[in-house]
Amino acid sequence: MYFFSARHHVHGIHVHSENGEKPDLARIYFPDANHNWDVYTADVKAYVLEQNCQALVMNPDMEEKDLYWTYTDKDRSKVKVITGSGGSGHALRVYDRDHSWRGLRQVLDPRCFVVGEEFTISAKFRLTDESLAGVTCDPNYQNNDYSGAQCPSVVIYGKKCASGDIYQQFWNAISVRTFVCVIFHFQ
Amino acid sequence: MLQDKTWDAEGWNNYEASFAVNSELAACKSVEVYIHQVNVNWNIEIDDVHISELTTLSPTLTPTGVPTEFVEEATDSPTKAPTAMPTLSTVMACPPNGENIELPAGPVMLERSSTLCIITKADVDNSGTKTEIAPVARSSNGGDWEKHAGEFAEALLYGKNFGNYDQGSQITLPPLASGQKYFIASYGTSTARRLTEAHEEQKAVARLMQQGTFGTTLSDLEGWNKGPVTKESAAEWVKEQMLVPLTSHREYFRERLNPRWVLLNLIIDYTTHHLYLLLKTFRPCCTSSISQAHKPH
Repeated sequence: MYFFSARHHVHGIHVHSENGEKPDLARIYFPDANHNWDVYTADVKAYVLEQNCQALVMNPDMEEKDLYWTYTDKDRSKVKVITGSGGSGHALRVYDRDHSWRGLRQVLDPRCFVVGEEFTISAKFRLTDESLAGVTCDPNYQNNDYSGAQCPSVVIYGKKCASGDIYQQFWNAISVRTFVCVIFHFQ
Repeated sequence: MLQDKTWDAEGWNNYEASFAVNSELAACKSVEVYIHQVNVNWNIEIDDVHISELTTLSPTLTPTGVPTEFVEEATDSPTKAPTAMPTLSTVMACPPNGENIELPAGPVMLERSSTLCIITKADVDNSGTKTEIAPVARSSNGGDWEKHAGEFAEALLYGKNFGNYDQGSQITLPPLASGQKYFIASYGTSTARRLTEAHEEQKAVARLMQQGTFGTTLSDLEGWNKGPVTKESAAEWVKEQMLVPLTSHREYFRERLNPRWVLLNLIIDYTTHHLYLLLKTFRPCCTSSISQAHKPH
């Protein structure tokens, strides 16, 4: 895997051996700028990301802003760096979404996904409206409605699989109806 | 006793889940984490996203890569002028709307076009008049270049395919007969036919419903809430449909489409009209009463 960084915040994760091929040479290009403009490029870094299945998500606490994170669909939403959940640090806000599908995504290391291995997912979420006031979702409503009351979920999205894409959605396990056992003692 | 956990609108809410990797997911060459599927009117604020392996790492089925030695060589200082595209030929962009530019035969790298861009072949006489114009290839909505439909394009580009690269689509245009030339032109912004990703998703849902019901309805289509159509989501939908209370299609059909009463009225009207005409012709004495009592509409 390689990571590209430069001024004006160009970055990304590239799976170099996605098809099982390991070419001897890889090139980085910076194409598609307006042909009337000069392009200044500096501080280019490309390095291999070490396999770490204990920490699959890169930049998990957004301390490096939106590094490694990207939108689900280009030009369909915007991402803003905001104050982190503890009142310091950073978090990310996805706004101006034109569909319930729009959100954030990050490439994970496919080598960690071995049959039988178990993973835990944790995150912190907040929902706001257009005026940035907090809104309430229903943790017990678990349907993907376009304008429904469902709370945020996390999706593990496998692509280029043996038989089509694999879309596994996980709802919050600590926010659903739970049984509480009440024991009465009679004398 | 049931207890509903609530959502704190003002503060941050913790999320936790766990999953085990199945064989289908393990076979994927690319895996991503998505955080989405939230009410379109809301902003999603995200922090502290962690995915950790619970079990100790067992020997992987696929060998892990050996430590890679990445040699970082000193690069040249940034150039002031952009360097040329690393392609066999320069990238050809679609001309502005209304312009028609001649395109030489041979290898060409074509930029994906946001508008409808078409390469055509035309017979050009000495005065520059173009005749026998035939479409050869097209690109629209930022999509890859593709062969245009039609016998001419199919025969001309037989055995040739566009190679798609980051900077565009490349093909070698075959030489044309004497007097024939290629041209590239843009045809406005509203003629693109390529579907957006959201529409592609809806198309897949509509196809599933068309196969599984008596016809897709708009309300069913808009009510789909299972994300992309996969084996799992399709199976879940079919199971849900099987649990829906049974209704009679015959009852529905007959309630709306039984034409007997209307047909009977038509027959009566038709018969009366002809009887009226018949009597008017041969028995003038009786037409008055019939015309008043059974005057056709």
